[in-house]
Amino acid sequence: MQGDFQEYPQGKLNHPRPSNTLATLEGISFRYDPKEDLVLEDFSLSIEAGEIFCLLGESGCGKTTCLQLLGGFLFPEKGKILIEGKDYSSFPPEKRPVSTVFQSYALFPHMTVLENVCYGLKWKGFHKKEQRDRAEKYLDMMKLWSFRDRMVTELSGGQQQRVALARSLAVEPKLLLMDEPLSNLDAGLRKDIREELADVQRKIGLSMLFVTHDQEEAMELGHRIGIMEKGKILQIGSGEELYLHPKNDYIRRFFGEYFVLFLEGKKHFLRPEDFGISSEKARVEPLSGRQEGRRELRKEGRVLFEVFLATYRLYRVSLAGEEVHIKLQANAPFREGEEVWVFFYEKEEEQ
Amino acid sequence: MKSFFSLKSIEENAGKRVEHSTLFSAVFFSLSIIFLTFPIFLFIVYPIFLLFWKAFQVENPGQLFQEISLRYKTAFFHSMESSFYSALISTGLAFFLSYGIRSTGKWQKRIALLLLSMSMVSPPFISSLSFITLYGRRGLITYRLLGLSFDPYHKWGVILMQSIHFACMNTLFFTNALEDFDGKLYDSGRDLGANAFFVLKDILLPLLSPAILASFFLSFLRGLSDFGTPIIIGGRYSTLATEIYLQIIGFSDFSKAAAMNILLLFPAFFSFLLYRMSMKKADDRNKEQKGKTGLRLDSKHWMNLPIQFLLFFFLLFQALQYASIFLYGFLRFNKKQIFFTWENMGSLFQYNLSTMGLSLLLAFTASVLGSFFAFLLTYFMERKMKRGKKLLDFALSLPYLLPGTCFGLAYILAFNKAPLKLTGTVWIMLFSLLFRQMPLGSRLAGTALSQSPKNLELAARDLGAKPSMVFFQIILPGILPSFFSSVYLQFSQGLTTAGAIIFLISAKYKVLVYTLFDAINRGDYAVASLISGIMILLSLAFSLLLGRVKSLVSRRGVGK
Repeated sequence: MQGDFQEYPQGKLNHPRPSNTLATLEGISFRYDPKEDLVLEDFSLSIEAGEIFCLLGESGCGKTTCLQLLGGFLFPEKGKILIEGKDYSSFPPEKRPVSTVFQSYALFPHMTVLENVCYGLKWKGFHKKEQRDRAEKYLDMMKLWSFRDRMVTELSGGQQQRVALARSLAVEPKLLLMDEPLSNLDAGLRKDIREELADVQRKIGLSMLFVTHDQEEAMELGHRIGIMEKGKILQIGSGEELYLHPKNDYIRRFFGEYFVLFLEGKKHFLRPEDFGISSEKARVEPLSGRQEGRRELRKEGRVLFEVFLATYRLYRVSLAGEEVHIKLQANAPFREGEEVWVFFYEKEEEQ
Repeated sequence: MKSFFSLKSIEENAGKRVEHSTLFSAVFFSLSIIFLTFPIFLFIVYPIFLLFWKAFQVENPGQLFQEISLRYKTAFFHSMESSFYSALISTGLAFFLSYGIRSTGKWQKRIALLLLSMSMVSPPFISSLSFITLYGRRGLITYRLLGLSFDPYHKWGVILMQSIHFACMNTLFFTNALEDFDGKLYDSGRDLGANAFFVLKDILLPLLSPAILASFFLSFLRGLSDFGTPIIIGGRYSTLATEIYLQIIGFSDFSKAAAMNILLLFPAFFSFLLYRMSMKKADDRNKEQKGKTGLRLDSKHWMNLPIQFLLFFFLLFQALQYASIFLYGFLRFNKKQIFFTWENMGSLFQYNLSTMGLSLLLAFTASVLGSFFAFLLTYFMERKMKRGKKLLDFALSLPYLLPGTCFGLAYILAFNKAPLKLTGTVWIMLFSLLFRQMPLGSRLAGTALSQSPKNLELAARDLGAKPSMVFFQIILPGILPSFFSSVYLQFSQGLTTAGAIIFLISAKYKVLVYTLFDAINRGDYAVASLISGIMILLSLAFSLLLGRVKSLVSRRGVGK
């Protein structure tokens, strides 16, 4: 349960803590047209070696622009792009030690799987034989070895995605740039490839900048997440930090539903899993766990609606005209129309 | 007692109504198909059939063909040779020009596109004429400015002129193809380490090869049917299309002209077929790509420099050509000096200028009616017809396969006797314009329709729209931009085209192109320049007017 992780506020234990900086965007200003406003203004960001950094934001917030600046497809008006300390700001894409996995893969439709993967190796100065061996190694890693002689257009979306990944990995870039690489896949496949990606990253310790608008994807993959709005990074932290301690309402809303309750002259920001419900017949603790030593606050309410959703039960409860959504464990016994007490544990610092 | 209200009776009645409405719509559908295909049969298939019939109506057709193929062997070879070279050069040139346009700034791009689209509206032969005035034996640039004596009247003069002329249209075509190209493929090539040259070679060229082939075969087809350029600049180098033209003009030998046409038809038919195949492949390839981003070419690579130079000189060449068309009418040449003069304006008015009114009227009527008919027919063909689609499509593209002069000739043969006596009337001119341009409108309609979702139509029917109203209320508003392009292109073609209409004019009804020919024949190049200038300005004025109508219509919404 989520509550169990509370004692480790620093984030996920299974991820290595990064230490040294690999790539930096330093004071970048950029606009697409001299007549238009700046898309990025005095923007800075650094990516550590061996980490997956997720840029999370709504479409149009400038996250893809960031990626394209790093890839060399756009050039900044002001500022520097450093990779391992070297200034690459004015280098074309073919001379940068990075590789991009594009949103709809951008596989060359007139080439086979193997030819696609070899294409990048050709420019690294490998001989034909070496190209082939290396390409096959990465195709094998992505479980695509048996498809190597197919045309890429014959593959399914998920397979194409993995070819694109193999193609980028094969050139062994210092930094892998991923532009919403999973957004064209259906939910099940997205999850599979997410896991595969995390495995591969752990295996070869590659650094990645991952751009997405999906907070779940960011939380699952990102060692650190930077949340962006209108060309600015609002907050950087692990998924857990951003979820539990968002700096402002925008970030709070981005990470899911929340409710604001005024109780005893104070404002309380609460997620659906922060509520518990009690009645005469039962008491069910919040999904986020029982907080020993914290003050419990409560309010009278009536259950408007309840539904079983496999791993939890969702309630809509009216609290004196205000409606809140509450997630409880799946076997919670409260039914529609019941008069109940809704309770939660007061948090230490509220904004 | 019979119940007042029974479910059964409702069901029965409903059944009847459905039956009645399907029967009605089947009749309506068949009638519309007949109504739409009959004109195609009458004004395209029948005249062309008659033209070929004529070729076999001589005493010994076998001998005629043998004679012709022997006598015009050289002309046939010249046709193939010049068409091949001009298709090759114009396609190659156009590709690099469009690459250059894609990687320049916004305003350079605008100027380039404007100059290129002028070639679409400039009257035939006039670019050859202005080429001669600028670069000929006594050319303004070669002779007066540089003191060179340069003789363009040979094979390479024809190929050069055709290449430049076709390159304009091909460049516009490639500019669109590059617009549709998924920029991510280019980016990912560079991302993997290839520089601009290798991305061009390994990714851009192979992926655009269907479009390149389509452009080649279309240019080849146009080269085969071009009779004007060899006449003006060919000197002794004569092609089959030119010989056919001379045969009709000089000897009025229709049987022979028809037989010569059959000779030309074979290569024309094959290049047309190959063009259609490549075009289909190009469209399919475009559909494969999803989530496209714009193509951003690397403008810093060295390769860009020669390409920009090429683009600059090509545009300069075009600009000089149009400037000379406009200016030549206002200049007088003495031995060493050039004066500005209104004299030519004066002599312009000695020509029959009433032709302008008729030309405008014909071009306008043919463009609006023709586009409307082509769009309606193509809609029926693509969405409603189950059988005969291919046949109708072929019939529709027939006018493309013949040189314009043959199309005119076929009309004379078909409509010179009662009950279909149209020769000497204004109608024959209108119909020839209308149906000669039909392939153009139909192709634009086909492309637009393939981009309009089929569900839209189903949704309209589902919400209760009658089938007859779906086209007007749902389909047409969606493809209106293409409709307007079709009207514009047909108008400017109708205004400037010579081939089909030149044999159809009568003492009573003459068109502006005829006046232009008159001036050229009299050697009055200054007046010819003025008339060409007027034609170009009329086309441009029409395009402005159409733009205005378009914005008015789109603001109000159509079909409400």
